[in-house]
Amino acid sequence: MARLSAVNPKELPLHSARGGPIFFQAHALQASSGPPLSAANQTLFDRAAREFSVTDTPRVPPNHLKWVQDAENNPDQFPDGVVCATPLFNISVMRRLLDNNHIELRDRLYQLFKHPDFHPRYGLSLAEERAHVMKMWKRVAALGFMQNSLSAGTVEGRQRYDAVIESCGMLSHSLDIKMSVHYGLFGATIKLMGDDEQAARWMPLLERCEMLGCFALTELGHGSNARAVETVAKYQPSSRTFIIYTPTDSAQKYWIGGAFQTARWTVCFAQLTVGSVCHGVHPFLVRIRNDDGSVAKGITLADCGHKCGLNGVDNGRIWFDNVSVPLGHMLRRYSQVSPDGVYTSKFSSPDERFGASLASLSGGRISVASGCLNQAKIGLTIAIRYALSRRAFGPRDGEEVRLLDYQSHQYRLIPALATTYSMQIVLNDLHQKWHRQELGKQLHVWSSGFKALMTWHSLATLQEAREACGGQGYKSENRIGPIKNGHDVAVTYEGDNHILLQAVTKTVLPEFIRGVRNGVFQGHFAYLNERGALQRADLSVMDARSLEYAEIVFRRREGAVFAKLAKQLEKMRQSGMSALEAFNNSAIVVEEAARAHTELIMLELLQRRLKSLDAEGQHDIVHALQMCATLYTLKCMDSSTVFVRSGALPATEADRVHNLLLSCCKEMRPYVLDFVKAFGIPAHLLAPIAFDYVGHNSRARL
Amino acid sequence: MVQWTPNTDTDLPSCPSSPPSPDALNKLLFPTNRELREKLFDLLKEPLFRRRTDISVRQHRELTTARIKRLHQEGVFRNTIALQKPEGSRRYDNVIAVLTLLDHSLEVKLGVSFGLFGATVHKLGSKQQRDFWIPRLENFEAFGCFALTELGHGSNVRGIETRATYLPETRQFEIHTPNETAQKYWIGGAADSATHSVVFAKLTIRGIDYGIHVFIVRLRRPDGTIEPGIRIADCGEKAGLNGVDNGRIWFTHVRIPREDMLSGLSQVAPDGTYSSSIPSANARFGVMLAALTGGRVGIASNAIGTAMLGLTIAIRYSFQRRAFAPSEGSLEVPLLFYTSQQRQLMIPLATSFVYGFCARDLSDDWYRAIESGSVSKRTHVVSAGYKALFTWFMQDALQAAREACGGQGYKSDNVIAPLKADRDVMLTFEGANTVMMLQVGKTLLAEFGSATRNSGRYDENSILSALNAIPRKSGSTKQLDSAFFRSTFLRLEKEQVVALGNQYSKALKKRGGSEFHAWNDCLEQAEKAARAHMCRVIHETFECHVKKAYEIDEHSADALGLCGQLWGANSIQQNADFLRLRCISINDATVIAGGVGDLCEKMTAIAKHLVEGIGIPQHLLAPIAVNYVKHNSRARL
Repeated sequence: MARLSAVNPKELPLHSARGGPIFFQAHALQASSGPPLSAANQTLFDRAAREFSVTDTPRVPPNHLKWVQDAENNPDQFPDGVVCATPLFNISVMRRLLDNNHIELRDRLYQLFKHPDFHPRYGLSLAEERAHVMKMWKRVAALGFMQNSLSAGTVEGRQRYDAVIESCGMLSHSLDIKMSVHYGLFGATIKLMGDDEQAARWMPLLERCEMLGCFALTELGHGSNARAVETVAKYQPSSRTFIIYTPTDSAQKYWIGGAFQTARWTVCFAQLTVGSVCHGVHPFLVRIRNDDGSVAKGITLADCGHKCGLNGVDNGRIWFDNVSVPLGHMLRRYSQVSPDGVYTSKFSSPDERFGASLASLSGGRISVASGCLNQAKIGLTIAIRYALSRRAFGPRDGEEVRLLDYQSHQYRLIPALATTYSMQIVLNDLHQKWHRQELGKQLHVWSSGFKALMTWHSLATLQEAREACGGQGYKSENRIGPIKNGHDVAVTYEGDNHILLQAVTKTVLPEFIRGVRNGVFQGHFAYLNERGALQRADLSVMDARSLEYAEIVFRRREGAVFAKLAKQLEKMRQSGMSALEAFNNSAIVVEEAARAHTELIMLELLQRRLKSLDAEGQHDIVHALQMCATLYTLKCMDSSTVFVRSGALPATEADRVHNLLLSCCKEMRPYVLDFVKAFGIPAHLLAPIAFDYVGHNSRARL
Repeated sequence: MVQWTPNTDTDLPSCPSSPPSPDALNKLLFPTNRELREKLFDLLKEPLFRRRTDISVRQHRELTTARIKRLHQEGVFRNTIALQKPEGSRRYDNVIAVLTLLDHSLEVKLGVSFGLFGATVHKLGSKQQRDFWIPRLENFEAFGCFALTELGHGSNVRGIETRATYLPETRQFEIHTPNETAQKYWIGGAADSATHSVVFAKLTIRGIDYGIHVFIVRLRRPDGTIEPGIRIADCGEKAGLNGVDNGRIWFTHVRIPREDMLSGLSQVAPDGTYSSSIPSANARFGVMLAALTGGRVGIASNAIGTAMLGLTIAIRYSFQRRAFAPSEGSLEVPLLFYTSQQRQLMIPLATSFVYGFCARDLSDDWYRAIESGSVSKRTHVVSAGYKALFTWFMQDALQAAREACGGQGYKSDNVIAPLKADRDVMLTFEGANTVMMLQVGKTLLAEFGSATRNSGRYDENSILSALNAIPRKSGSTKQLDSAFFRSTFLRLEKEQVVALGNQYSKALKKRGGSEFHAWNDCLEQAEKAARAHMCRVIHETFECHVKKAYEIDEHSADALGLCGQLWGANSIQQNADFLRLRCISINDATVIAGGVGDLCEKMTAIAKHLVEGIGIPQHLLAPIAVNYVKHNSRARL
């Protein structure tokens, strides 16, 4: 990576140049196939940015540039004895594996983030923060990476979209959300729910930011239960328009990212009523602002106000007062209304229709999971590097000891590191399947389960990282504290985690019950056909580090928890409870089942990936990942009571697992620096305590 | 203000015929200074005390100072610390317990001057010094800060490097910062407000090092200018607590008169002769940090108040917010209908009651300790353990509350999320939680060592004496009665302490006798032992309160009993060690896991009464705790 001093922002090519670095030539083939940013786009952005009337006061923390420069000049200024003499694996190969695709594009964005417009700012007011995010978005948009991304409908396009969002997320959560709402939720809905003609008409405009949009699903009174939204779209054959209105205060659209100041358009989800028949929730493209920024007729907008984080996103509230929307603005890939008011749909049931209309949320969930893992990576990199340089306490008359050489500190950070690695490998698999559009029902189950477990993992990791850095972890310039506040929202948006887990079980359970009824299990549960052998397996003679060991334990747990749940539900139904009541009264087991299922899926994906890497001859990488996978599964088994309680893990084995967990932390300790380096996060996206924290705090720098 | 009308839906668990009375509960929770509390709650209705969001660091600091001024003007602090008596401390703690519900910065800023600076002078100063400084603090003629932590030395206080050298010829001390890691760091109030600081420094007289002592140094003159030789810098923006101006201090050969060393315990005569009533340097060091123990006591207690605030908001919202309908076309049900929501909120609610009473006991112990001048081992251990466990609990409770409210919980107006961000610092300041737990563990190891030398018996006065006679499994798992919990908790405690002891002696052999390294091999186990010990202590302490409550109000006592059961059952079901170390059977575990759900349902039935019993007035709550639709209505734009 180039040194900071060498970068002159003016030299950063703001638009694709075919003579650039190799990555860009390859990339340019797709990225620049769309027209360059048009004048119209520039003005729209300028105008939108100007509406954020506050000037962006660059309250960059003092000495930001200095510590970054120090870090780049001397990234590994640690006390002696930190780095292991024999590296386990090639760091750049590992990084490519983790980031999976578009490595050069990511690096190019990281490079852009050295520009002063992207320097960190803390203590900004709500208005300033919003203005700042707008400014950053504009610069990122100017690179043109988003053109022909989701609209292309190709694997490469979807990957590129995700790579841009992920890279932006490394810098600012507000920036990545602001962009994902526009390109991802707004754009993807048009792409998925609009027919080809609609997509062809609007997608290029929105990818060039000539049409700024938002996604109006959630209402004040209806979040997780999206089917209950109250906004109405009534078809009027006489004028061939839909009349959209907000019938009550609880029906106001709420939390709509970008609605308060930025978006000109929204996809509004409303109950479609034709004649006197309600056909359920459908999406409509509605103008909420004119291009000059004035609010469109019939629209009322209000601010959601200050939040605990993510304040660069102008979440807003929308009321519709008999807003008239042309017939052609109902997104009609699957359902449509003819001019004379006849409703037709490719789906026979409202359930299926509803599921399809929220398809863009599945992709959203994968993005959220991936963004969260990235935050965990930032937190871990900072905390681990700090723990390698900061010392405290020590033997009498000896030097103080590095934090990371304390067992308690290792236990706090190293399993979290191993888990982050394992989850990333697994998520890459899901991501790839999503990019190739290979998944059906599984997509829903996996994306829900992964999103829940990964966002919780990320938040817990950031909390550990923050505490592990003591007071320094609480200082804004050290990033961890603010990142944690910003990402907290991830555990409830795009589907509340608890509800997602319940959805996992709800979808998977019938498959299990079918197996019980038929006496033969199919698909995922097929392993239960050999359940005798599964129960008989003698763990005590097995290597508890092996994933085969974990597989037996995870399978036993899943089998036991699902059996318990099925029995419990059956009993409740027989005692006269409704299905909802029975499910509700079993919520705890329901969530245990979802966790058991998701963790087993993750383990299976992990095993498969390790095998394929091994077949490719990547033995060093496999060895390193195996270390992570072992630690991750041990940690799972050690931290939940379910394994022993369900009989999956005998108490003597639980002892062994616990002891092994501690020794595995110690074994991984010499390599942690390489592991965090392979996250590929450049110094300027880390923090001063990750490098020379004393120099940064010296009096000479006042 | 709109009155809160919780849902009395038939969908929710029905309220028992004789629910606890909120009033009686409130009296049990807050038995003293009730009038003062009411008066303060009223005062906090003034516009100056309205909650603010989206304010800059500068504005937040100014607001905090303005609020302190106003409180002082109303005489809120009169007869608190200056009394130098338990009733004064109790009064002060009650003031803080109310203010903590408004803003953490306000609490901390006061706590640094009154609590840390004040308590240090009280504990370590001569009578003359106490009588001079403490009334001045109460009157805000001086505003103190507490310069202990250095950039390179936080938890390991002994490692601080700031020097105080005595100069007999001028009868002065020279305070000096020898290097960058020695700069005082995180000093609350230092950046732009404190007039004076207690400075912890290593005392040297004629080349001999006497260890850490405390000195009073003036930082600012009355006109606000900074004293020569002192350099101050700002610690900058933080993830919360931005109303406190944390600062950094460098001393360049700053000279102060001999009289400004706190001289209650140790003195330096004009000719440089050193004397101390505590000859052992180790023992002296322990006493020096006594103010921190007081700080921990306060933190433990305010952590519970904070958790209760977050939970009150989330529970009130969960009564009115509806989601999903049982059947097509019917009304959606309130969130508390869902057992997952019940579990998310009722477990922390029960826990907050259990811990709340324990925290009050600790405060009472502490008041007694100040008066008698000696802090018992038990109080040391309990203050460290509670500080860690209660702040961790608070953070988990606030997280649960925030998630239970979905996006609304993330809005600053609704208090919970900013509260959580503001409070996060409590987990590491005044002793990082992990270090606190390890202190507890270290004491347990020492007690175990003494017992081993005494053929396995703990001394009568040992904090582990209860382990001498562990009841065989008693009580009933099904009933989840007190005897069951006691025997189960004691067994786990014994297993963990023994495991710690054995692991340590094995490690000691392996490490060739290095105590430091042997101990480092046992940290994880030490924390487990500490948790198990605290769990038993908490159970013991709380059971006494439940018994006492039966003498006052039966229904409230029943409710507290329920809280204790749920806390106990949850403690067992979330800790795999009970099973791993065979303190319960798999069958017990299954019964308990089911029991938690039933207890949550029972708690939900009286949740409204419990929340009203906590008694936080509406103006300190949040819009979603009152009427979230009305607050968001178009009519209010």
